[in-house]
Amino acid sequence: MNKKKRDAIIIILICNAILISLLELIIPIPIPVPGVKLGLGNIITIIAIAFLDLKDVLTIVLLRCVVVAVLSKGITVLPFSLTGGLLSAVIMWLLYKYLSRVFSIKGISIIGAITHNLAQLIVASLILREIVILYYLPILLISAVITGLITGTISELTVREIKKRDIFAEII
Amino acid sequence: MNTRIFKIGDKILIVSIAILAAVFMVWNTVGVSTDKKLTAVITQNGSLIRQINLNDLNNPEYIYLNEGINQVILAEKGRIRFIESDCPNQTCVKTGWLTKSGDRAVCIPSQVVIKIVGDNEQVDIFAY
Repeated sequence: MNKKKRDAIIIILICNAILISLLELIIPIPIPVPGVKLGLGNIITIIAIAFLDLKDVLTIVLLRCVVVAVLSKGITVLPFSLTGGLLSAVIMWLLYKYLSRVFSIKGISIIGAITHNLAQLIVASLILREIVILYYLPILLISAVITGLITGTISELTVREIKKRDIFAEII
Repeated sequence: MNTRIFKIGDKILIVSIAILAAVFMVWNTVGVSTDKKLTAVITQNGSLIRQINLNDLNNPEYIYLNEGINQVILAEKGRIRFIESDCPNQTCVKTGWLTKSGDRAVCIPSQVVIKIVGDNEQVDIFAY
């Protein structure tokens, strides 16, 4: 296992995740529900899950969330995005590792999106001391399926290409 | 090698979510009583700021919130909304008019929530 190349790939993935997340903020989503976004940064998370350890995956997610929060001057969203990001990363990792025969990456991505949004709503409920969940749940579920499908399809194709061309051969 | 586009788990997942979402939407529209009495409850950090009876409101009323994030709420007869806010997301403003019991708009940065309660909901049980 080539450690230097592995570290380099991790750094590249972190940078890509940050870039994608920042660019995504420019795209306006007309749905007035707190926390609904495309989540394209999850493509990187899934690539990491497919080729790296859980520890590396969580590192990438953590750094991405923190840097994006700082750069977009949205430090206040950090508890939300961090909880959602880390939790969904863990769940997606578990699904990929143990239930790959049941769920394709698309399904894993959808579940990841649901977990991410659900975690954010729960944190919002705790902070606002209001039970906001039930009201936003249907829109959240539908948008999670749509964004999860989009992100998942892209991730799936990317992972397949990486495997086919053996790009990460030296670090697996 | 399994080359299907969707695996069995995916299909079950999408179908059950579609059903769940449909059930929730029906519940949210049908289950809402056609209350004649509409009361708007405005809270910040979980504590009550204003309570307005929207039915009795004959003239539109502007409510100004200046704690931290400046926001303006507009209450009219039968409806209420965030009309202006200094928050970055504008989710609260984008939510638009709240017109029936159960409708709500939240602003997470300012921790302000506008909620419409009808006859059956008890106003004082929302902080826990």
